[in-house]
Amino acid sequence: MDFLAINKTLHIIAAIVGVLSATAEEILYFKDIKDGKIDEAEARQLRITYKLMHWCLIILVLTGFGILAAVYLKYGGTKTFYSPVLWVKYLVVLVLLANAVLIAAKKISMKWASSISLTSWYFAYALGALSGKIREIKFLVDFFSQFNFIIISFFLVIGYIAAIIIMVQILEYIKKLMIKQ
Amino acid sequence: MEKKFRIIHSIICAAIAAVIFVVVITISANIYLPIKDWLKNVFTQHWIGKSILSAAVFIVIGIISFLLPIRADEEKIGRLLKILSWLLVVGLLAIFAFFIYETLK
Amino acid sequence: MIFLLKYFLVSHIFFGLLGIIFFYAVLISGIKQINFQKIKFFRRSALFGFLSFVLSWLTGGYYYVLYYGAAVKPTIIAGKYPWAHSIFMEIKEHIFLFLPFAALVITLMFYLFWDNLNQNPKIKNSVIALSAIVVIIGTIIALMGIIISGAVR
Repeated sequence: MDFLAINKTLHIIAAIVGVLSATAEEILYFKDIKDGKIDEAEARQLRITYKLMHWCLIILVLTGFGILAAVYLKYGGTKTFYSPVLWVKYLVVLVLLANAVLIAAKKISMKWASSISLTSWYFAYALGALSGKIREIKFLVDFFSQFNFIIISFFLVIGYIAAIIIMVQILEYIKKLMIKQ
Repeated sequence: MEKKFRIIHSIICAAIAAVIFVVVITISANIYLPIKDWLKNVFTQHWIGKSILSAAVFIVIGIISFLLPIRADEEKIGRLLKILSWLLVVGLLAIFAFFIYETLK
Repeated sequence: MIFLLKYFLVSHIFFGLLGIIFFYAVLISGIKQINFQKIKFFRRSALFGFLSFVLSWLTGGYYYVLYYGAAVKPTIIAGKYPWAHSIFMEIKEHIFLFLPFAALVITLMFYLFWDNLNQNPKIKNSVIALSAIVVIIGTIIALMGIIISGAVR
């Protein structure tokens, strides 16, 4: 296994585990908030999924740059480095990191923090998974090559913001259902 | 306690001096090319020269500010930390603006 | 590119990212109430962050001086994206020089000033703000590295 393959494999594993941890975090949170409060045992569970997400994020960042370094060493600079999908992914990761800072500083409500966290994990995962698939389908490659970096990035960012807003509504609805029960 | 305060005080002063030096040498070496040539001649490469000189400025200013009879207290240290933070931001923006201007002109 | 230069390039990236990660850990933990039991965590994170930046400085400097200037820079300048060097590389190589000094200040604050940090919220906030600035500058540098590498065609 070469350097590129090792980074790709670890990147995919960390992405899957990260997405599952983020989902588990939300499920556990809704289960725990049913009685209106989170006790010490429940908080301990949430800290485990939270730590898992942190470690997955660290591995994702390191292997993400590792993949680019490996591509650079093998092929030099390629279109990948200037791909709008890659840069929107970075934006999503930066939003995720900033979200964590705001949560720590208690400057953001959990309603928005949860949505941003969950949406960011799924959106980044989808961008990574789909961009690979799209590159294999010729008519999609031809379609998207009509648009420049700014247009594609703009629509991806709009999609991301819309996904966060939709996620807020979904999570609020689920929370109301759980508390009613 | 007094010694700890003075060490911290001198390290922060040294960092402030190093940051100012990096900004000044970066801009001046690009505007006044003999400075860049001097750095290349003495240190074989201008960036090596800037790295070594900024480290030297840090050490020299650190030692000087430790030896000076300055009374260091929490309030002064707090103020210096704020100055360092602001200088990093201003220095970052200055270097950004300078190279964008140099490229576009 | 010979193996040693490839090794130095990858090390430069890896240590730079580690430095950012360590100071991000300091930032996140420091925003919450600093816990006296976490003294080891803060000291080690800051120290390893500082050392990572120094190692990134040395390995990056080696690659830059021995290879980038002669082999990579002419390719970028002659290519489609010359601004990748004239703007981004020039900015990157100079603002990087801020990081080791700022990182050392934060590290020494945790080693020499620990007792005062919890008692003085203003100084604690200044140290956390400094960590945030180190993380932001580090992140900007990392992203600029991608722009520069992408221009080597």
